Amino acid sequence: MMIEPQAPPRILVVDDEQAIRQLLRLGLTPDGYVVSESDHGTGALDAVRRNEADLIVLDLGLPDMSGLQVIKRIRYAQSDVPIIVLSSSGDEASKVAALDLGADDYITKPFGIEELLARIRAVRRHRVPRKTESVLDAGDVALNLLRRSATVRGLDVKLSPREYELLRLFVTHAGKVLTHKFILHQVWGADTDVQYLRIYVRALRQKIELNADQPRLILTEAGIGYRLRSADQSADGSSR
Amino acid sequence: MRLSMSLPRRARFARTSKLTDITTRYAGRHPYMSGLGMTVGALAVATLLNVALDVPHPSRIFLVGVMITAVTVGLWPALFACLISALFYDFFFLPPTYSLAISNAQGIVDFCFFVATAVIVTSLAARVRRYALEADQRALSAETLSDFGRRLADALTVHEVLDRAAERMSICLEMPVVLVIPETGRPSIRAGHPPHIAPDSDCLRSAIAWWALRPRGSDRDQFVVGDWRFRPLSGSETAQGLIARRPGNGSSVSRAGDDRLLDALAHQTALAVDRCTLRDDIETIRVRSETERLHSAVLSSISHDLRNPLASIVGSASGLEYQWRSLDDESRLLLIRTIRREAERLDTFVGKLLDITRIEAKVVVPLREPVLVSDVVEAALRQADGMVSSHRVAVVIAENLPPIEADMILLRQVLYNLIENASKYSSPGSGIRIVACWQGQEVRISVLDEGVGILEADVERIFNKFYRSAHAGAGVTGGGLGLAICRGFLDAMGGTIEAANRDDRVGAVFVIKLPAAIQVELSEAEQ
Repeated sequence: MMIEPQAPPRILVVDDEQAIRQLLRLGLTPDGYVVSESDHGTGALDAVRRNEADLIVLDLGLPDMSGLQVIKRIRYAQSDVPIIVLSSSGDEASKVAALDLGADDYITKPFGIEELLARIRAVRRHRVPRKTESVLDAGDVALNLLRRSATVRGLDVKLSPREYELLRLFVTHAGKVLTHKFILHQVWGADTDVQYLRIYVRALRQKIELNADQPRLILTEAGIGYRLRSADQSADGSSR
Repeated sequence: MRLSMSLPRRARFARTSKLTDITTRYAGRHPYMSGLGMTVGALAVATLLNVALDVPHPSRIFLVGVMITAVTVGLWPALFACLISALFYDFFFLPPTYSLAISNAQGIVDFCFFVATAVIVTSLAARVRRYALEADQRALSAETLSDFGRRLADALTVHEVLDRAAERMSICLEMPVVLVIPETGRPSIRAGHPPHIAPDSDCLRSAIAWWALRPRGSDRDQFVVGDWRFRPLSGSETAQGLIARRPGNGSSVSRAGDDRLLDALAHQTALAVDRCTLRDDIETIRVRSETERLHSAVLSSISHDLRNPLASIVGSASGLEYQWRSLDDESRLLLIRTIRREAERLDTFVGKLLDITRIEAKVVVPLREPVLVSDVVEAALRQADGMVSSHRVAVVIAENLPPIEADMILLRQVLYNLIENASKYSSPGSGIRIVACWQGQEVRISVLDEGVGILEADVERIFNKFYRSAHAGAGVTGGGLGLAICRGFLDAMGGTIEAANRDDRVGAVFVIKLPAAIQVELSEAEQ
């Protein structure tokens, strides 16, 4: 099926709870999304096979198979359709598992619809193929890819090569949660101690944040990883 | 009379009089021999006086001998001495001498007077002796008992009471003593002195059977198995048990004084056991009433913190549904915001109920990983963002603060609860400070507010589940779970949390202590 360039993005909601599906349909449609629904994992896999979804909102607890299983099989089928996981609070382990299996982000129930919309935008933005331009802009932070330099709130910041790599990773995934494992793999290329990452992030914050103890740009996702706040995310948008 | 035998010679507290001293030394062991000896001595003295100085009436010498016997040894040996003295007097001094026959009326009168005087003197002297001994004994018993009572008074458990009682009894009676309180369905409580001497289990079992089946009111009965003598330990309604003692080989005959002393000691022991049992009962009742208080607090909290938000949500939603047309946009928005706010409140409370349930089910398994305090403070503050937006929040983290060993998620929840608490108990516009510093291997994170502070009596209690301070005004809502969760999580992580009032101004401070993690060396990061 051909997709018109200006065709509205199609979102598949996979949740066995009817109220949640209805909420998402009512909440997402006004923002220009076309919402389809499925109440089981097989339906999600079918939709992916038929290329009917541009983004999947996936509940982890499904009647026929676990959400983690669904992610695994979608990624195994070489599909890189963005997946946002709906999880319950307190279950950080399955969030990390979902992200490590290839989910793009998560949101914790109960959530506000504005929060979900911000997540969808962040995930989709990253999926938009990058233009050949040499400057990446994520609100307060801008990177010049050619000169390998960073500007924060209009001021040049001197970064070490590692810090630059780290910041570049954050900026290219602005608004998206990045797990410790993912960052370590991308920046260090191997399994390194998470403590290195923490100390680098701290060093980076001291250079780019107004107050490194109350950071506003690089946010900590407790037990999961970090997230660079994108321009349209509210301060508490990523909590819980 | 062998009263003197029961006087505890080894007991340090026993006061021994001169009289007791004299009698216990020799006379106590061979009373009739000493009576005989005394009479022979009197005979010798009388003969000497009669032959050498020609003293005419030697009967007085015999009377002195009889009297000494009566005072030092007792009534019956003295009467025995009387008999011997009368025979000696008759045989050696009354004519015809060296014969038991009496030849004249004068002699018969002398003999009769002698016998009568001797018996009267003997009985008087023996009575004096008995009174003296009894007074002695009474003083001694009183002292023994009061000492015994003192020792039992500060014993806290039944076991302690029995331990001390057995030790004192054993010392007083000079024999091994074992105290047993049989418990139905449970092992008996036992104590003995000396510790290694005790009746074997068969012996004990048959004694307990005897004790359990004995007729009511037969508390003075004895039961003998092998070397051991058992008697009931009872002096009150509730304390019921057995005293076992093993008299030494030489004195298998029970001594009257021992029995009286044992009676008194048993009574005191029973009272002390009673006291401990009552104290335990009172403690049980206290715990039970505390549990009941908790249950009613749980109920009221659940009805308050679950029902109230639900009532608002249902009410607002139904208002929107039925009055949609008559409501203006502003009113609709108001109702919708109410629904959202109340639902979020509900979510927070349910989260806390889940946390406390996890703590009580002991399924909290914290990670022990290095955590940067700045990270966790940031995460907690972001979680509490809407709550503290009207407070001035300041974070002060010491330079080069080492990472701590903790579970980030749990610690974030702890800090979130503390920040929530600080904002709830202080007025908008006031400051909340989060300070982290370290000392040696210990990192302290303090959350300080500018609220009303904590009542001294509440400093510990506020960590109790569902406890709400009297300081909590009517406007403060919340189930009293936050701090209980904080303590539960910190216990699980091997840290501590304490509450106090601020030194520098009015306000509360909560101090978390956690161990510092081992730091990795990072030369690259220094650049």
